[in-house]
Amino acid sequence: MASRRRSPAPPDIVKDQIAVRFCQGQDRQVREALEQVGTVEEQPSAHIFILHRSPGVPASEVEAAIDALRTDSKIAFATPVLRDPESGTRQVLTDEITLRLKPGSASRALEAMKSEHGVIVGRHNEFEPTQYIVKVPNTGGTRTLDVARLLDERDDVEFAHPNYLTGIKR
Amino acid sequence: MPHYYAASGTPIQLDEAPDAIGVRFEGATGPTVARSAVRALTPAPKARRAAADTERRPPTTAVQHFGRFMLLRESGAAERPVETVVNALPHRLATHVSRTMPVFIERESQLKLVATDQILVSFKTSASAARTRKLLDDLGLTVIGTSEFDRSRKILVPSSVRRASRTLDLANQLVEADDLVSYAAPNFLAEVRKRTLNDPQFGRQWHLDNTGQPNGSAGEDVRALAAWAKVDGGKPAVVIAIIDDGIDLNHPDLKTNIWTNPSRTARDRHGRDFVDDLDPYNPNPKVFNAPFDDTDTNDIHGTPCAGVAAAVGNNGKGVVGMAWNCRLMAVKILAGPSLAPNDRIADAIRYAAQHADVLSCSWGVARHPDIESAIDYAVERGRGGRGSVVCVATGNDGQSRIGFPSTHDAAVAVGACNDRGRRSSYSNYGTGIDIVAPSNDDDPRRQGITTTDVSFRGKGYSSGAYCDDFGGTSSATPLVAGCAALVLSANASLSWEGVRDVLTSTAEKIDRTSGRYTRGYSLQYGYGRVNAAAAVDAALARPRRRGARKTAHKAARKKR
Repeated sequence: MASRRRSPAPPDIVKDQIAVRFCQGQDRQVREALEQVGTVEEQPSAHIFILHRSPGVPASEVEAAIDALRTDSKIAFATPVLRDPESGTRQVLTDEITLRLKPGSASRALEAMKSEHGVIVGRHNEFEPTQYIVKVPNTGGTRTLDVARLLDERDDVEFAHPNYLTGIKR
Repeated sequence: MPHYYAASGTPIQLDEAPDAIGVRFEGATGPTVARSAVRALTPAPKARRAAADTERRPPTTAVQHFGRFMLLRESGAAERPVETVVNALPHRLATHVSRTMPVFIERESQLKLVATDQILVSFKTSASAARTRKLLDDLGLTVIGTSEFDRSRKILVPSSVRRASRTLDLANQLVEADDLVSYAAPNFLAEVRKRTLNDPQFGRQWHLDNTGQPNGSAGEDVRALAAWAKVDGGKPAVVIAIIDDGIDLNHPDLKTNIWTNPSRTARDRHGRDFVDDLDPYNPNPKVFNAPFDDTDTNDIHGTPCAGVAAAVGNNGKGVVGMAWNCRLMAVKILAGPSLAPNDRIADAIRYAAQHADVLSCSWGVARHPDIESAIDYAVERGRGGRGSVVCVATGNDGQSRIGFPSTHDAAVAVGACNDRGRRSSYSNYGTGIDIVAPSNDDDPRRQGITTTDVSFRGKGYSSGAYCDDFGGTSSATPLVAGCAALVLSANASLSWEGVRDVLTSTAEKIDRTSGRYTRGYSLQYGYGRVNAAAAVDAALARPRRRGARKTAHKAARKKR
């Protein structure tokens, strides 16, 4: 594409939901801990639970539960659940960014991004030769969104956008 | 003895029909005489019954006429040459017979063609008058008419009376002069088959043929019958990808039409599942949760979509799809209530475009550049560069804004209308909508769509393998996708833009009062309701080009 795309509208944060990615083999313990503060929605293929905070449970209690899971290395990250204002669909931030580079700049650009933002290549797109999924280490909060914005502003980047786990309206 | 003529460089194989013959009546009264001859040879029902046991006249002579021509068919031809029927004509009619003509059967369609003595030829604009005249003189042909629509198209007849089967040879000799001639073929009298389908639930599929059943308005449909009269159910080479929650690959009314990867070593035999890493080559519905008719938590949505697009037709089972002889590819991006990663959705579109001519997307998501890029990929690289046609639902929120990805410049954005030709109240409308197609409505008096349902016991919208309450822009979208497949069956050389232009330029303006069309465009209906018959006609009329043609969607018309 010759022209740069207009970025989608910034999503809203869904206040009473939070997504956590559980570490290998920790799903039962993570679920039990989260069920103390709310109900758990499974996204098994992504190794993610979405916690729906119970009414009356303060946000600080949820934060404490998640901090404990993180300290015990039972979860890889906890990220907000967002809602796209146009479609109304939910979008879960993960640690992945879809990155399309401008032709001819791949290895140099990826090295620079690694040193500047710490992102590493997760996988190369099967169909598009200059497209990658890059992973953001130490994901948490809106860090993936922030890093994606920084990458998107680079001259050697066609586009960079969080690879959301997204709701689909049938 | 085999015969042939050429169409677009392809030989069309013909066999002689031994039980049929064409008759031409001469003079200004020819058409009147032909009509009289038909009456003379058609016994009254009472006489037919009485004659059945006698040998005085053939019991099953059938006659049709067109202008000064008459077609005779006789099942007893093996014992009695059909020419003897002509000899049985009353003398006052027989004296007007100028010639008899052989009848051929086209091998693929099994339709009858009467070879007249006329040839249709189109001369190239570069052909000089002198060279054209010499060619005609050499072949002994005379021009007797010129098309009022295309001056380069002429009607020729032999200068002297010859056997009419020679018409084929002469037409083929003209084709060989390819520096002068674009095409040449006999001006056959062609049998047109009015198709009747034997699928038992076809009568309930008002979206295809609305006869007013039971509370709809007759004619508020997609004109499927007239489209099928031209291209039947489409060509098996045309593939529609249903990008959704899977297709029930073993459904009795879909199985025959499921696409099979031409590569024998490919693991993706019938499509792919982009959300199940453990079973990625099985795009069947997999996830079910009680209640089993809930669209959002069960994989039951893709199978009805597939049936609307291309359920097998004329197989004595269930329902008929719009493009009932085209193929269906299953591309799975949904699994029960799960969310899906953007990159998987985008790659599913790219994958579909590598194999399918038409992509049907009955869903909406938040805008994402990777999905936008995937639709670019489909229209730029699909179909060897001609571009796959991407049909997308506008959404079911009743909003005056259409949803993503139907907003993409290269998408065919599809809304829904009901069995009375009005916008379905849930159908998103507004800037960017291209077209609408029949579906259900929130008003319970309006009918739903009868189509295939998952055939797993206890799962799906109904208890059986079919449902009659499917709907939404989800149903309208594969209906338009099926129409696009018929358009490509009629003319495979069209680009994706050409297909979209054919669909929108032939769409029927419905609800003119509330639709508020301005220069043919309505924010409620786009360019109108898809008209399959008119679209197929338009596709047949457009030139056929050989080889791939690169298209860039940026050059396409901007959406409204």
